[in-house]
Parts: sequence; C-alpha cells; structure tokens
Amino acid sequence: MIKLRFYCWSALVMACAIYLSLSFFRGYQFDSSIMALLPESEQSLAQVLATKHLVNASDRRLIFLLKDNDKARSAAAAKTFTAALDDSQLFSSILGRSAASPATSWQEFYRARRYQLLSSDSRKRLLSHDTTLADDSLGRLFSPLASVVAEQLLTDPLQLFFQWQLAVIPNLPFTLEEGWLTRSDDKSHYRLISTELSGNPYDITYQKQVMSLIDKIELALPPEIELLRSGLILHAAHGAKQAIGEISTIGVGSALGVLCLLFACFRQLRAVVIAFLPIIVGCGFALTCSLLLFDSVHLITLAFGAGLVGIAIDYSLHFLCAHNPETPHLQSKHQHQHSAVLRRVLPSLSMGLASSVLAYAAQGMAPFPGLRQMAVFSALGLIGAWLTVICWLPLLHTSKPIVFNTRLINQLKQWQSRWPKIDALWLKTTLIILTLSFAAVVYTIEGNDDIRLLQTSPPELLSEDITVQKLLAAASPARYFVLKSDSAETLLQLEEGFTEKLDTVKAAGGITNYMSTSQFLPSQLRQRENHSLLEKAVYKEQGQLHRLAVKGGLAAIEKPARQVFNDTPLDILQVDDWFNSDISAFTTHLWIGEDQGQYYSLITLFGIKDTQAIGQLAELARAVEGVEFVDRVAGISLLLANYRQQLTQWLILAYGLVLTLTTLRYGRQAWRVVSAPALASLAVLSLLQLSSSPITVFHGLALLLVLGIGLDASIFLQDSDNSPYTWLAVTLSSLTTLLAFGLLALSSTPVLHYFGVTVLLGIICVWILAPCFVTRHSQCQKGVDIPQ
Amino acid sequence: MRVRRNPAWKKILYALYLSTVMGNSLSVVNSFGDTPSKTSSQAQDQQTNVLLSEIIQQVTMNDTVKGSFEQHKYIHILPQPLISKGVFQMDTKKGLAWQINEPVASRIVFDNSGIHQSKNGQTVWEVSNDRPGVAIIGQLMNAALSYDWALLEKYFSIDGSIDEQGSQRQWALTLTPKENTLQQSIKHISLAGGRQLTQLILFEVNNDRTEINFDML
Repeated sequence: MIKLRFYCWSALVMACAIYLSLSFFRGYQFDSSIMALLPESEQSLAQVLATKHLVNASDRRLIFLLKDNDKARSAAAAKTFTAALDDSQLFSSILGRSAASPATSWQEFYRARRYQLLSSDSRKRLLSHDTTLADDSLGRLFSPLASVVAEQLLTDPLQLFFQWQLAVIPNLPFTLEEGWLTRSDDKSHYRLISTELSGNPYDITYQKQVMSLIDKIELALPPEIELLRSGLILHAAHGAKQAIGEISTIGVGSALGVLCLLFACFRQLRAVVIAFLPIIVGCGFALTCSLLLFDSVHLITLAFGAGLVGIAIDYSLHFLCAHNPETPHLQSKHQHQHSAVLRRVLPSLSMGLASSVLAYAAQGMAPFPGLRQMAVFSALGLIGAWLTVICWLPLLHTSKPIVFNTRLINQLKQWQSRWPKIDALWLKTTLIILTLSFAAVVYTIEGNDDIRLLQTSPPELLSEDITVQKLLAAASPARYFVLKSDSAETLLQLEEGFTEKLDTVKAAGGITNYMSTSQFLPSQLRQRENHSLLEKAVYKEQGQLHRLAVKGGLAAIEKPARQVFNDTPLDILQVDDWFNSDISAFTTHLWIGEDQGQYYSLITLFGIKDTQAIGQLAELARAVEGVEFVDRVAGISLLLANYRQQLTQWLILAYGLVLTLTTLRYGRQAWRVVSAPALASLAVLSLLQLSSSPITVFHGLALLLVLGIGLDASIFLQDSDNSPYTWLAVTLSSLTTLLAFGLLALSSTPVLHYFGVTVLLGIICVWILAPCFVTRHSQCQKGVDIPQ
Repeated sequence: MRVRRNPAWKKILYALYLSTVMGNSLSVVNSFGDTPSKTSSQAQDQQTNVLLSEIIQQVTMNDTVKGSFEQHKYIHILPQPLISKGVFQMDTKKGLAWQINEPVASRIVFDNSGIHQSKNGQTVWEVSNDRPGVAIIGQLMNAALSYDWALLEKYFSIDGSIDEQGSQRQWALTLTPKENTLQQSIKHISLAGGRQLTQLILFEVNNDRTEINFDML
C-alpha cells in the first residue's frame, strides 16, 4: 500500500518535472501584465467592447517628450533621438519630424459639404430665427478679423462653416515648429516624438531591448534636456522587473532562512533534505498545474507563491517531529515505525491542509483574476507538499532515527513550562480586556477602497505619465460614454441628441470639451436638416443673407452667394466616406462599430472639473436610453468596497464554520483551537488601525490565511498534548511562515505588501497565543475521533 | 492599417490638419516653417534695431491707448471697400476692445484668453487663444498698438525708415512674415505713424488688404 502510493506519486512528479522542463526549454513567457490585478466588474457588453477597443488602441504606443529651454538644441536632440530609435528596428512607426502636411485636405474634404454642417450654436440661433446672427457676422467682417473671414465672403457669407470648424476641432496644444510638433510654455519647449512598438509590450525579452535602448539614448542626450515618457510598456517592464526581483529575494531569502533553521535544530543533512523535499515537489506540482490551468501564469503569482515555502514546510516538520524519541509506542514496533507515525499525524496533517486550502479557496472566490491565480497556485502547492509527505516520506525516512538538537529541545521544554496558561486568572482577565479593547478599535475601522491599492507602478512613473498626458491634453482615459444603437445612422443621431446635453455641461464649465464621431460625421438626418435650415433661414429671398447684404451694404454679393448655394448639390457624407478618408484617422478610436447587430461608439471627455461634474455626467447618461457613463475609477473602487463588506461577513462565517468543524472533533474544547487565530486577527487589525495603515479588502483576505495557517498550529499543539516536539514543529513552521511572509511585506506591490504584513503580524500573534489556549488533557476526546 | 490603429498617429495627423486648416485662413501663430528665412544680415538687423529704438523714443508710450479708427477692407470681388468706423481702447493688461459703431454695432475684445464678441453686454461669439490661426489677429493688433517690437520680430522681419518733414518726423515699417506658414496668407504688413501709430495695412496673399487708420485721443 505504501509502496503503491510511493510509485504513483513518483510517476506523477516525474511527469510534472518533464512537463516543466519542456515548457522552460521552449522558453515559456511569464505574464507581466499590469491589468491582471484589476478586478472583473460586472460590465455591460458595451463597456467590455469599449475597454477592449481603447486598450487595444493604446497598448503599443510609446510617447516621448524632450523638454528644454533652448529651441535649437532640443530640435537637434530630437533629431538624433529619432534616428537612434529608428536604427534599433524595435518600432513599427516613429513620428517625430514632420514634412509639410498634405495641405488643405481637411478643409477640402468638408468644403463641398459645408452647407450640411452647422455648429450647435449656429443651428440653435437659426432655428430660433435669431436675426442678430447676421449682425454678428457683419461685426466680424468689419473688424480686424476681416483678414480671416472676408476671403470666404461668397462661399461662407455668414461665417457658419468657419464657426463650425472652430467649434468642432478640439484644441491641440502642439503646433509645428521647425518641423517638430512642439508645445511651448513660459520656460520650456517640448518636442513630441510618438512611436508605435513593433513587439508585444508584455514580452519580457522585447521589453528589455526597448528599455535598454531608451536608457542608452537618454544618456546620449545633452544634460539640459529632460526626457518625459509615457506608455504601457514602461509600466509592464517595471512590473516584470519588480516581480522577478521579488521572486528572487522572497523565494531565495525564505528558502535560505528555512534551511538555516532546519540545520539549527536537526544538524543533519538527511533530515533537512527530507524536510525540504515536499516544498520543492509542492512548488513544482503547483507550477505544472497552473501552467496547464491558466493561459498564462503571472509573475506576481510566483512572488506570492514564494510565501508557500513557509507553510508547506509544516507537513514535513510535523512528520519529522512526530518521530521524537519520547513517543513511547514507536520504539517497540520498529519496522512499522513510519507508517505508524504517519497514521498518527495524518489526521492533523489533513486537518491542517483542509483549513489552509479552504482559506485559499476563499481567496480564490474574490473577483480578481490575479488573486484567483495566486490562490490556486498556493492551494495546489500545499496539496503537492502534503501528498509528498504521505507518499514519499514514510519510505525515504529510513530506520535510522532522526537526531534532534537536544539542547534546543530542552530549552524549548523549559520555555514551555513557563508559558502562561489560559487557566491562570490573570491571563484570563488580561486577554478578556485585550479582546474587548481590540474589538473596540476594530469597530472604528473605516475601510480604504482606493484604486491605487491595485497599482503596481511606482509613483515616479505614474507622475511622469500624468505630466505627459497633461501636456498632450489627452482625453480622460478612465471616464467616457459608450453609446449603443441598432444602426450607424441611429447611433449618430443618438450622439447628436446626447452631445446637445453635454454642451450644457461644457458651457457650465463641468468639462472643457468632448469628442464624438458625429461632430465630424453628422447623421444623414442632421445633414439634411442643416441644409434645409440654411436654405430656409439664410439663402431664401428674405433670409439672413439678405439682412447681411442690406445692413452691411453688401448688395453685390447677395445674388452670387445664393447662386453658389443653389449650385452646390447636396452631397451627403456617408459613414464609409468618412472612415475611408485619411483625415478620419484621429477619430477612429471613437468608433467601435458593429458587434452582433448592434452599433457602438464612444464619446471621450476632456478636462472633467470635479466629482460634482462626474456626478452630473453620470446623471446625464442615466436619463438617455442607450448611453452609458463609464467611470473605471469609481467602478473599481465600488467593487473593492462591496467586496470588502462581503469579505467581513465571510470571515465571520468562516470562523463559525471552523468552530462547528472543530467542535465535531474536540467537543467543548473547540474554543481552545479557534481562539488563538481569532484573537490574533483582532490584534492585527487593531495594530494596523492604530498605526494608521489603510485597512483594505486584501487585509481581509490575508486574515483568512491567518485563520487557515493559525488553525494549523493550534490543531497540532492540541493533538500532541502540547508536546515540546510539536511545539518545536509549530515554532519552526511559524518561523518559516514569518520568513516567507515577512519578506513578502517588503514587496513594493501594495497587494503583496498588505498580505505580507497581515500574515506576518497574525502568525506572530498565533505563535504567542496558541500555547496559552491549548490543554494537556484532551487525550480521551482525541482517541475517540481518530479514524483508523 | 497600422496607422489606423494608433491614436498617437491620429493625434499627430490631426495636429497637422489643424495647423493647415487654420493656416489656410491665416497662419499658425506659433509655427515656424521648415526653412526659416534668414535674409536680413547682421548689419541690417542692427540698422533695424536702431530704427526701432528711435521710434520708441519718439512715440508716446502709455499703458492705455484709446482713440477712434476707420477700417477699409478691400476685397477683390467687391468694387468698393467695406468701411467701418468706431472707437477702441487698448490696455496692456486687459487687451484691446474694438467697438464698431458703423455700419453695425459690435464689440470685439482681443485679450490674453482669446477673442470675445459681445452685443449689449452678452457674449455672442468667442474663440480661445489656442486657435492659433484666428488668435494671431489679436496678438498682432495688441503688439502694434503697444509698440511691442520684440513680439513682432518673433514672427516678422522688420524694415523701415524715418522721414524728417519739418517738426513732424514720420516713420514707416514693413513687416514680412519670417516663416512659410504665415507667408501662405500674409504678404506683408505696413505700420506708419509719427508721435503715434496712425495706420496699419495688412496685405493678404490674394491681393485683398485690410487698412486701418487710427486717430488717438
């Protein structure tokens, strides 16, 4: 039976080893996407499409700004910079120095259709028969502005096309200077170089090439020039570098620490190898299964998985420590020693595994793909380690007894005898007072659901990003409208109706501008309406044109201007006309197009003023069928908040469940097992709150781990009559857990940091508290329940 | 297709189009052509500098200038010029307020934020200063009325002379755009005056011209 288990597990482990080596031989690429930690919120199809559309459009973009106060120097630097980028072959397009632009194509494109285009303001005034419209046109014509508007006197007598252009074209702060797109403020000039990557920004090899190239070129720039950058690849490269660094420090650090500890107490290579084997096998097993289960394994998963080392060592330690010379019945039946030992520790091992796996399972239910992967990885690792202990160790562990560091054991025994017991009145009172005060502090906790919790990039990189986006005057990437309709034409009409409402927000200063497809491509209905409005209100005999001619003494142009209008045929601008033209290129990101018979488009927003404006925008969208306001920041924060509240309930539920399960095994002594992790959790929360650290959903998840791991210690202590060998095992495993999660606390990824700190503090508390609660007199209870 | 998928490209293309659209009616104020013409030699530069500082010494400089104007706009399709009359007030801080009284009543303010047209105290039309093609008109007028040679020299090469006519010394300047986007719409600008600026003529490429005569108070 033992042998069969051994061979079965060996075969499986071999298969894993082969699969892993094959994967790495083929060069498996770990995922370093920063999106992985973003939660899956409940999104409508429209929102999902919009996100995909926007992300696809921007993830290969990398933008550089060269900042300098000297124009000539920055132009020269921009030239060498662009040349260096070009030489590298790493970019599919580099846009820096621009040749003379395809002159007038924009105006040419619209000129023939000018009688179908009206700004919303002009339209309103014409519809309301506002006769002062002609007067205002005259006011401009008779002012110094004449040099701008007089040329089009015949073709655009009321300057309506002129006004449409001014209204529709959003302001761009970059203008062409010395052939470079340049923005100047009081002190500095910024040269814009925009590139498109030829490779995948998440590909680590490609990232390294791009980053080292940028570093090299940056060094070659004149020292006065500051290089500003923005692009997803910068964040991805940073994330990958950070994760790889953390995997090595956390993984290697905790492995080394555990090895030192093991040597200290066993002083025997064989025991150390036996103790360490389950960890290695467990990690390999977890990695293999994760590779099979997930499309891509994230680097952060590996960093988190490194914390596993600390927990997986438990099983082998408990197995080894159960071999202590004090266990009397083992010495008599020498040959069956190992299976007997196994039988003895199996219930505790399984119970420990079950509690940890359950804790990870709870973590895996969270709607964060990244966390789910971490949980699956960790749970699989523990199962792998547990299987190794029960399948391999009984055979590997030869008859030669393990020698313990007796001095250490004696020392522990001494400590243990002095350890206070819950039965002591003073401790009881102290703990009750502590529990109450902790509870009072915990009661005051207000959760933190800031989206920045999910941010993996350092603040410098983020602020550089914000600076560049500000200089580019880019649309808000996190807040926009998604519109949906049955056809392209009705979608454009929906946009037109909705942007009229947006105009009021704009006029009130809530936003500085917006951009929608219908601005450039009015619906066919609107084009016809505009044309007939012009015909009726302007160009008919007594229309505004007549008024203009009379008041301005321009009788000579009235007839010719009307003639030009009548001679210009209605030439409806169609969807295809627009998107086939070169000049539509800068609006394609607004048009998602058809998906399953529905048409979708975006309206992007510029310069959203404050939260009140955001509320107003959301309100506007709610009032119109087919329009959705997407606020990705608020969406994620709301999700975090909801989930944090749910998690609090789950935690209470988990304790209830654990108490029920342990009651089955320990009867009325169950509270002794559960108290330590419960009190430890309260203590951790209080400590965090008192040190004014934010309390987040991730702290809650980590507390589930504290319950899972902490329960382990209590169960083992309780089951072994609080024997010094078990306490040695518990101490060792606590120390290893501390090492692993303590190192995780050093992570600069907020989520990993929170996990690390919480588990670190929690396990320290459990380690101190557990021996207080357990009792030496539970033998009879245990004897009854152990299954054979 | 690649171009399509990249919004950066779009932005830039779009910037190019913007500058050309606006440049078509009148050029982009901040832009410099690919080949800034450097015709004037150092000697000429020096000569101009002497001339400009002489004019500065001669004219009455005030933070606020007001007066009346008469504008003649010559358009090649019309036999007669468009004539308008009114008053103006220029403040170096508040900008230029241009009040037309004939043939229609209209008030246009050219200031740092842009151009604002109002009627009976109500804004009827506005354009912000980041619309370079339009905004340059206001900048040009303000610079000429405040004798801001530094600003004018940024965009134009300046040539001119001073005529001694008894006690009245008359000066005249010709401003030629330095870079080709501005050259696409403005041929040249002439400024003339004695103790004050009296005339500004803007010659456009299509042979139209805008003539403004000032009468300072």
